[in-house]
Amino acid sequence: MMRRLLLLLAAALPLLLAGCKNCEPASSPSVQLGTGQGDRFDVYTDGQEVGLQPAPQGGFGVPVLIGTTGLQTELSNTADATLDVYIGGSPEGTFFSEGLQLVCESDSEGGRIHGQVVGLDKDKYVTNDDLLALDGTEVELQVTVVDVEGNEGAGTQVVTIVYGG
Amino acid sequence: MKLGLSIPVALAAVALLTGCPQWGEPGHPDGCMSCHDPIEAAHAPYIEEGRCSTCHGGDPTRTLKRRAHVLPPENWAEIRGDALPPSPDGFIRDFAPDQLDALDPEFVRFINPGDVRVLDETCGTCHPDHAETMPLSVMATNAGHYWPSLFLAGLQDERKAHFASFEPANLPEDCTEPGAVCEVEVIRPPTAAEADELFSQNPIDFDGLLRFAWEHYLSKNCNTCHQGGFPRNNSGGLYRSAGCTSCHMVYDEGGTYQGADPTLPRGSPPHPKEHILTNAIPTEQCATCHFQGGRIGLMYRGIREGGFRSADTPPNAVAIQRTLYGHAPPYYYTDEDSTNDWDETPADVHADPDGDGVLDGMVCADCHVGSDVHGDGTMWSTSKEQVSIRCEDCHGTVREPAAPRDDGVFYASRKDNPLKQLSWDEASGRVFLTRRMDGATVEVPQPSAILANDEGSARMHASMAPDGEDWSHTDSLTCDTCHTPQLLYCIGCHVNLDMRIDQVDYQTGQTTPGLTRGSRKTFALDSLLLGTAPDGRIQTVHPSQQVQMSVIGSEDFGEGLENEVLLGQLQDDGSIHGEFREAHGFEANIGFMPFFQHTVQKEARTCDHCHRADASDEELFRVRGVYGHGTGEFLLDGPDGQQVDGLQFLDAKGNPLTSWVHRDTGPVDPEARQRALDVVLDATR
Repeated sequence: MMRRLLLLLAAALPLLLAGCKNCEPASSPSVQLGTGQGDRFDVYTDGQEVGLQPAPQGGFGVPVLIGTTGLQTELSNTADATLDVYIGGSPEGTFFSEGLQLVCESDSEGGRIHGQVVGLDKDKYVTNDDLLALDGTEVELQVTVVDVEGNEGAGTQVVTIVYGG
Repeated sequence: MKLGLSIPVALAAVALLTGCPQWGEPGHPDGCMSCHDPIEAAHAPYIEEGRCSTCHGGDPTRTLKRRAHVLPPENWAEIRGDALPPSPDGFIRDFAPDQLDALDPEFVRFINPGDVRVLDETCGTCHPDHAETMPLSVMATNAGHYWPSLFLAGLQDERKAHFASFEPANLPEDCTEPGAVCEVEVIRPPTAAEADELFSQNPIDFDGLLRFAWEHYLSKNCNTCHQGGFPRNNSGGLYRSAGCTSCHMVYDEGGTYQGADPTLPRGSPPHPKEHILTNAIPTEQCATCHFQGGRIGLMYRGIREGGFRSADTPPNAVAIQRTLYGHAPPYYYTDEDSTNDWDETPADVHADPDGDGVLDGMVCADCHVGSDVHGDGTMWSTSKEQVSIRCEDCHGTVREPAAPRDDGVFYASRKDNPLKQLSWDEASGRVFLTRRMDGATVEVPQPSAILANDEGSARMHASMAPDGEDWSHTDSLTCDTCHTPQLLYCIGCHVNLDMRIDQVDYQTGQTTPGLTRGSRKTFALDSLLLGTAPDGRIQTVHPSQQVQMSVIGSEDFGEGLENEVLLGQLQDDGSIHGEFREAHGFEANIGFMPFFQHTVQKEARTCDHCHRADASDEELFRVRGVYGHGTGEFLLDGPDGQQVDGLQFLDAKGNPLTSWVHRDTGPVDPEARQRALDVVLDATR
């Protein structure tokens, strides 16, 4: 039993030592969108139902957590992110954020940008009825993250808006 | 590690030499340090470095996580429910007050020793006075948020708190002073059963519907900003702890830990920036709550809120390009017009003394100390009753400089609240303030000395120096009336309760039917209104939650109710005009209150803001608007086609059109009003 354990450990050692290094710049950075609190990151699956979240003092948005691999994630550095919203192929808003904390969660998990909210066209979606019309609608979220060194990662996620009872 | 040897290595060496572990024993750090070293000492030198269990509990003699930690209780998942975002096991840093109440206090203490539920075991062991008064303070109870709206809506007659977000365990016995209460009831949204009962009526009882809508609105919109519970902790600027650590454990905007504990994840909020308790509390920490309501946490820093529509935003405004306080950018602005070379809404001069845009001056905690923030043992109904600091406490009056009492200590005169940040040079009478953040000592200007030395502008002498009858404007006006030149306030607040939509209620942490959302009609930045402050002087006035309430029904609560506008009136364009509050004999009780905006500037308003610049009818109309006769600029549309001036609280004859929330407040006294209106400035002033 002990021998088998040691063999397993020996086999895993090179992997452990090498690490995944998802927190360092790589040639093919990736970006994922998801949700979660604390260190939990549930990546959105295609078509996953996502509720619209009321913002303090009014307004609505889709809360998102951004996960990255292959981007520079030093705490002292920051990243810029652009989130584009498409509904039925039509652009419904572009939201540019700069100076975001892109922090390494762990070498295996990569970096995270927490606490982002994707808005919707605030001149178009004004009343509850405007928003209720979105209930069940698929929304495509396109996200681009550029780290402090200019490395760029991008990802697309389709989610389904839930707004109603 | 200061000793040049880490605690685990040192302890391991001791253990090897002596043959026995020493964790948690007298003179040795807790076993927690075997993993968490070199975490910052949270409260050195008062709590010995490495004595984690003093505050957090747990078993200090163990080094295995599952033995040393207080583990999440078995009912954690049940308490968390499914309304909050997915989280790691045991995560409670977004729990609503009811959820925290339901948890094992030992676990609450383990996660957050500053929580109000466990203070007697933690902070209160060394700070018993604060532990006694803080849970009663308005920042803990949130009591000031509920009754004003209910009073203006006619749903309560007394100007005192009934509801709160948090009910202190030890209630005060003395509540004889006006505004003091001895008990509060935690506000929760009406239950599904109560909704069923209300909506099954035919016709639906109007008063019952009104109360249902208001209690729903207040409980679902106002419960994340008090020390009795965590905030949502899910967006930039909103990260903080609860209880004492709401303030004394500083979080940065992103809520990420940047200290030395190797076990704490760097990328996962909410964690304090460092594991250090401090009195150096930056304004941003206070702004995790005070970004809304009166928005003093924004305006003090020179930040203004944008709008829900593109048209609300000036075309050349400079936006903060980050998600902040739950809003996608652009929503907050630092400059209204980048094409000119001045800032229309600069930061308060206390925050930015030299006006260079760098906030290297004072923070909230440089003024608001002691009972202002910790409470004084009385459960007050509003912050106006709890907060005691006045400009004069530091700056003196136009006749006398500020000075310490016989014990050498300065006090906030209203409540004998010590102001230990102030000192003076007795020989010269110069007063100094030592700042929290950088420890710098700066001189506090004394208007009496400036006037006596014949310094300052001619306008300052004309307006502030006592005249031949020993009268000064400062006898009749609070300082901020002239020295807060920009005021940001909403006008018209459309609140809608939509029973077709569910919403998380942050008192219970559960999702319940009924979504409330508010949206303002418009806002103003430079519309001056004057009224009477509680101390009898004139002060700037804000519209106070000028709510028009509407309710939309759902078929879930009865046949024929789907999409029905049950309160308010559907308009031809599809919008809904909510009902004005009709109460206290007023048909549209829109509400106003004296308010200190915290946008103080050295340069005061010019005289023509409050007095006529010439004798024209137009100028008389304009200045009458300052005293509440209406401006005609901001008209609120009522459900039946009526229009109400959002800045009017007096009719043409000077009769009141609305009741005022706070005791001893109201329009400017008629005689003083007329005296001010009679002044026609000469062109040279």
